[in-house]
Amino acid sequence: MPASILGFFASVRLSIFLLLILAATSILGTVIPQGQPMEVYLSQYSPLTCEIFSRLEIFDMFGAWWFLALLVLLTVNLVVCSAKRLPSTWKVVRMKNPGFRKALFEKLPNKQSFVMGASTEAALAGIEKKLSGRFRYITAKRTETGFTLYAEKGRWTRLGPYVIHLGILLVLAGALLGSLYGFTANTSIPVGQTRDHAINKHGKNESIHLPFAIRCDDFSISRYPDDSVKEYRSTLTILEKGKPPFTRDIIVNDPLRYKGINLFQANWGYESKIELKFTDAKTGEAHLITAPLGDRLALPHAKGQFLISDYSPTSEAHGRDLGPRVHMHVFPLKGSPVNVNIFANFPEFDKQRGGDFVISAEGINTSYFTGIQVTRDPGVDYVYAGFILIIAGCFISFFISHQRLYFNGEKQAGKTLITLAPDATRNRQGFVLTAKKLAGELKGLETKVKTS
Amino acid sequence: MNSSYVLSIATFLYGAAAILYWVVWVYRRDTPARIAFWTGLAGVVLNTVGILLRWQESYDLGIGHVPLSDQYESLVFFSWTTMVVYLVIERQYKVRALGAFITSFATLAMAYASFSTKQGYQLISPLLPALQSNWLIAHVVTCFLGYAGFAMAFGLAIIFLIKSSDPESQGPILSRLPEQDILDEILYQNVLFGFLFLSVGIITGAVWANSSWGKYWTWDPKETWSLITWLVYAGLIHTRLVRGWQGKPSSWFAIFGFLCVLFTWFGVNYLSGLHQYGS
Repeated sequence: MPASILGFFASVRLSIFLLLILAATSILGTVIPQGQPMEVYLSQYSPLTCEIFSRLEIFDMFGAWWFLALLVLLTVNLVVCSAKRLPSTWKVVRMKNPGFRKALFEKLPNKQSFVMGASTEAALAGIEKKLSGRFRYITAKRTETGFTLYAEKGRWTRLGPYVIHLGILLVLAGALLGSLYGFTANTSIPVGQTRDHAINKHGKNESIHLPFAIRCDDFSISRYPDDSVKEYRSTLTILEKGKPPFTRDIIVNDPLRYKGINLFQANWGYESKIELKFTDAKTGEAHLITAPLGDRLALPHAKGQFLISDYSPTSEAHGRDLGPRVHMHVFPLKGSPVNVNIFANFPEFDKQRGGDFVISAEGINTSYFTGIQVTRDPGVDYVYAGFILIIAGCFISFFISHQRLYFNGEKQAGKTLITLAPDATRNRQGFVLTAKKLAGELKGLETKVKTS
Repeated sequence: MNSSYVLSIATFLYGAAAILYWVVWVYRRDTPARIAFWTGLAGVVLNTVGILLRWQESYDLGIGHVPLSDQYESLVFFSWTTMVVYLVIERQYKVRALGAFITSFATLAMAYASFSTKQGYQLISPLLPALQSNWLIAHVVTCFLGYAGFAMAFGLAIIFLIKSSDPESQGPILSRLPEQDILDEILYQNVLFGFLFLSVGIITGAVWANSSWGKYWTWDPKETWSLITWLVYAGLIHTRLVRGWQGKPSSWFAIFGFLCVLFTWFGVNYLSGLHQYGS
C-alpha cells in the first residue's frame, strides 16, 4: 500500500471520525423506522422523500452499501493501526532489563521525598523487603552517593487494547459469516401437524427447506393469578429420516438447538371452527357443516352461501347471559344478504326467521398453532469468542496497569534521603496515593531498622 | 415494614446527605463532610434493604423475580449504583466535588420513581415470559453500573468546564474545586469503568437475545442506542491518544455521551420496537 494511503488508515483521528459517523447514522436509523412496508413511509413522508430515502437505502440502512462501507473502513483502520503500533508495544512488553533511568526520573511529577533514619544499606534492604510481595520485578544499583531502585509490574497489560481490537474484529467477522450463510425464518405449526420448511420474511419471502421435520404435539399457555401470561410452551417432535424421533418442550428463552438450527417459541395463535346444523325447513333433513370464521362457504343443496363473521362465548340481553352466540351472514341465491344471530343454547331460535334452513350451533372447536422462529447462524461462535476477548481486553486495559516505582537514595549524615517517583499507565492519581502511603510506611520503618 | 417504606426513608437520607454536601461546599467545613458521607452510606444501606425486601415480597406474592423489571425498580437500582460508585470514589480519591451533585441526583431519581406511580411505589407485577431469564440480572446490573460511571463522568465534566473557565480564580466557588488534572483523570477513570460495564451490558443483552429469539443483534432502537452510546465513549477514549485533545474535548464527549445514556434509557420508549419494558 502506498505510504500516504497507509498513513491515512493509520490515523487515530480517522478512528474517532468513523466512530462518530457510525453513531450519527445509527441515530438516523432509530428515528426513521426500519424495514417497514412502503405504505407506512408514504403515510409519513412525501413521495419525493420516500423515493430519495428508498434509493439511498435509508429504510433498510443497517444493510445499506454505504453503512457496510463505513464498517469496512473502520475494520481497515483498526487493522492498520494495530499492525503499525503492535511491534513497538511488543518490544516494550518484552524488554529484558528495564531499570532506573535518571532522565525519566527527573521528569516524573508527584515525587515524594522523606528521610529514613538508617544507613543507605539498611534503607535499601528495608525498601526491597517492603516491595517484594507487591512488585514482580525489582532491581537496585549502588551509586556513589547511595543507590537507585526500580520496581515494576503489569508490563504485559500494555497489550490490553490489542486484545479488545482483536475481539472487535472477531465480532465483525462472525457477523459477516452469519449474514452470508445464516438465516432467520418463521413457521406456524397447528397442533398435530408437521412442517419441514420455514419462510424467510426479510426481503424475498423465500421458503427454506429444513433437514428435518417438526411436528407440534401440543401447545399450552399458563397464566399468573392476575391472568397475565406466565409461559408459552410447545411440545415438538423432531423427525429425521433414518434417525429415531425425539420430543422436547420449548418455552421462550429455552429453544431447541439441533444440527446448527435453532427453534424458538416466537408467537402463537388459534383458529375457531364452529359446527353448524342446517335443518331444511321443508323436509327436516339435517346437514352438518364445520366452518372457520371468515370463510364464505356453500349452503346445502347449493341454495346460496354463508359466512360466520363473529363468535362470542357470552351474549347479554335484558341483563341475562344468553350464552354462546354466533353472528353470520347468509347469502341467498336471490335477494340481499341476511344478518343471522344464533344462540347455541337455543337451537330452535332460528325457526322464527323463516329461512330455507333452520340453523343451530352444535359445537365450537378451537385449535391452536404455535409460531416457531427458525434460525441458523454459523458465525455466532466467532461473535461469542470476540465478546470474551472484548471483556477480557477491557478489564486488562482499564483495571490493571503497568506500574513503576523509581527510588533514589542519598546519604545524608547517617540517614538516607529517599525520593520516590510513581508512574502508571492508568489511574495515576490512585497510584500516587499508593506511593504516598508507601512513603509513610517506609518513613515509619526507621525505628525498626538498625544502623550497621 | 415493607419495601416502599424502607425506600422512602432511604430517599430522605439521600436528601439529607445532599443538603449536607451543599453546606460543605458553601461553608467549607470538615465535620458536615463526614456526616454527609455517613448519611449517604446509611441511605445506601436502606436502599439495599429496600431492594432485597421487594425481592422477597415478589416471592410472597407467588411471582418471585429479581426487582429489575420495570421503570420504578430500575430508578431505585440506578440510585443505588450511582451512590455506591460515588462513595467508593470519595473514599479512594478523597475528592468531594461530586458529593452534592450525586446525592441530589440520587434523591431526585428515587423521588421521581415514587411520584410517577399512584400509590408512591410500583405494584409488583409478574414477569413476562421474555423476561424470565438469568441473563436479566447480569444485563440490567452491568448496564446500570455503566450508567453510574457515565453519570459520574458527566458531573465531573461539568465541574471541569466550570473550573477551566478561570483555573487560577480565587473566588469562593472556583477556588474550592479540585485541580483540573485531577478532575480530568477521575473523569477518565469513570469513563473507563462505565465503558467496561456498558460493553458487558451490551454483550449480555446480545447473548440473552440469542437465547431468547435466536438473533444476538436486531438493530432495534434500544440496542442501537446502546451501541451509539458505546461508540461515543469509544470516541472519547481515542481522543486521549491524539496530541492536544486531552482536557476539554473529553469533557464535551462525556456530556454528550451521558445525553446518549439518558436517551438510551428513557428516550427510546418514545420510538417503537421490542424493548418496551421501560414504561
